Amino acid sequence: MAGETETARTGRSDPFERVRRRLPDPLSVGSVLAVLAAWQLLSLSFPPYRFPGLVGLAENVGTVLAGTGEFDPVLNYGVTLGRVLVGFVVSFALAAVWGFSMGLRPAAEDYLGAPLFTLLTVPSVVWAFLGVLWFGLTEHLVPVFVVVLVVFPYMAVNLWEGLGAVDDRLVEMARAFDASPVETWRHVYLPQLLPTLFATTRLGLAVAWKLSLIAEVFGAATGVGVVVKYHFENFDTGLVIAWAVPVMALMFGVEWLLGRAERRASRWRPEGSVGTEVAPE
Amino acid sequence: MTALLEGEDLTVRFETDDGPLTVFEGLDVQVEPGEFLTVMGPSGCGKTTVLNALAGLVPLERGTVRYDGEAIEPGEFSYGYVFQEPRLLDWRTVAENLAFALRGAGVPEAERGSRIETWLDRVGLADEADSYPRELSGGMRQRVGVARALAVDPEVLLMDEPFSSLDDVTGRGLRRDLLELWGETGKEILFVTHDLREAVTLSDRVLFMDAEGAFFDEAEIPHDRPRDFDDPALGETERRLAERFFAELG
Repeated sequence: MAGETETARTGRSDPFERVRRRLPDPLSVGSVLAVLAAWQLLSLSFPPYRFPGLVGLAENVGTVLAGTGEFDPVLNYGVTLGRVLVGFVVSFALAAVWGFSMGLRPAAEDYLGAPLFTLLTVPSVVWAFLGVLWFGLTEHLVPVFVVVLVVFPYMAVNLWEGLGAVDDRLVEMARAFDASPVETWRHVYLPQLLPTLFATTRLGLAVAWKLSLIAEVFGAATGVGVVVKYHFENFDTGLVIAWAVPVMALMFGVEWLLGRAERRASRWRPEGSVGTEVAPE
Repeated sequence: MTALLEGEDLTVRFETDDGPLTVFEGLDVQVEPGEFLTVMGPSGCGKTTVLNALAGLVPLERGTVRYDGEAIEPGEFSYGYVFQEPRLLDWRTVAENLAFALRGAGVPEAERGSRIETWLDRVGLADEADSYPRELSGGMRQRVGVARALAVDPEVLLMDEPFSSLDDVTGRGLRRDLLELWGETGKEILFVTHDLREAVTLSDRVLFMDAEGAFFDEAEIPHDRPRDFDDPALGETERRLAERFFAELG
């Protein structure tokens, strides 16, 4: 017994380490500053109406945030975000059923796999046009339709592959100890699927937000895509860019929250050993 | 004396891409009450599958499992399983790993805490209840695996080469502790190994399996307990059995 107890004491972080981790990573701060500097430099070689500098951009963002009527930012961002979220949630639910069925039932893999890979080959613009042709100009249906048909196959493939990486030996262990299906999901499958679930959420949200705008350009009367199209038709480059900035900031925030949540969920992994065995045999 | 756990005419075949693969056919095995029985054989001969067939973890093509004289569905008897790898839930603490098994065994919640405490203490890990498995050494993790199997208070302990991936010193410590626990609890143990020395040191009786998955020999290990692992008499028995064993395997 003695002697063994001293080994492998990893993963207990000291207080300094914790403070340091709360501060922004100097590398990412540096890269953001570099992008901003490059932006400013680049803008110097264009007229401001084609490519505004940082000050011009800030002014434009101010204009966006102060907009009223059909340019009301709360209304337009709200509508777009609503579509993104509904599209994302529907996609996730569909992808979970589809991907997990494929992963858990080998017999279902062939039946469900072929349509999935076919869906993956359809260009999103085609879905957008088809959506408008089939449903006309709609408040939510076309954007959500496009988001779901494009995003859910990606997510389903991700979840299916994630399930393939689950350690069968632990599933067998759970059977040997008579764990119920609920217990097995909660303690064996879900924790192993967490990285996949986070990756799938990131992918889903990022793609859903981009597609929502495309679908809005084609088939909606409100939303960020509609406003961006309006400014595009008026050759107002500054406002086309400025309308995208708040959503970029929002997606950054979401990404940060997801990162935090993922680190919290992975606190059982000793520091610096993600995916590897650390303790000596 | 009737056998406690008995497999009769056990036949396991797996479907592979190259057609069916017979792991073993018509195999009989009996574990007597209180016995430490070891299945010994070369790697890949199907020893582990014997455990898994009795435990209901692989489907039987044919055969009967009996417990206390009555035919039962494979696995429908009280057993604890110690695997070759610890097979712990790395994302749950040591105590939660034991709790997972206790819930499966239907142990009421009020009783779980004291059981976990008792068994962690008995395998020498009383201070590690709140540690995560990755924070422990390989030997400590395997101890958690042993504690988990014993905590469900099984009638039979199934052990699949539990010490084969540990270094000599750690393995020795665990073997000694296992014999002690076995002496205290009086469980039946069905043990699998490819290490003859380990088989001789631990067992009452050893079944020898050949590469085709058939038992070709059987030996009682008559030495008194507690056994001294360095006893030359054990070494002598090992040498004698090695001759019989390797002559057959050619």
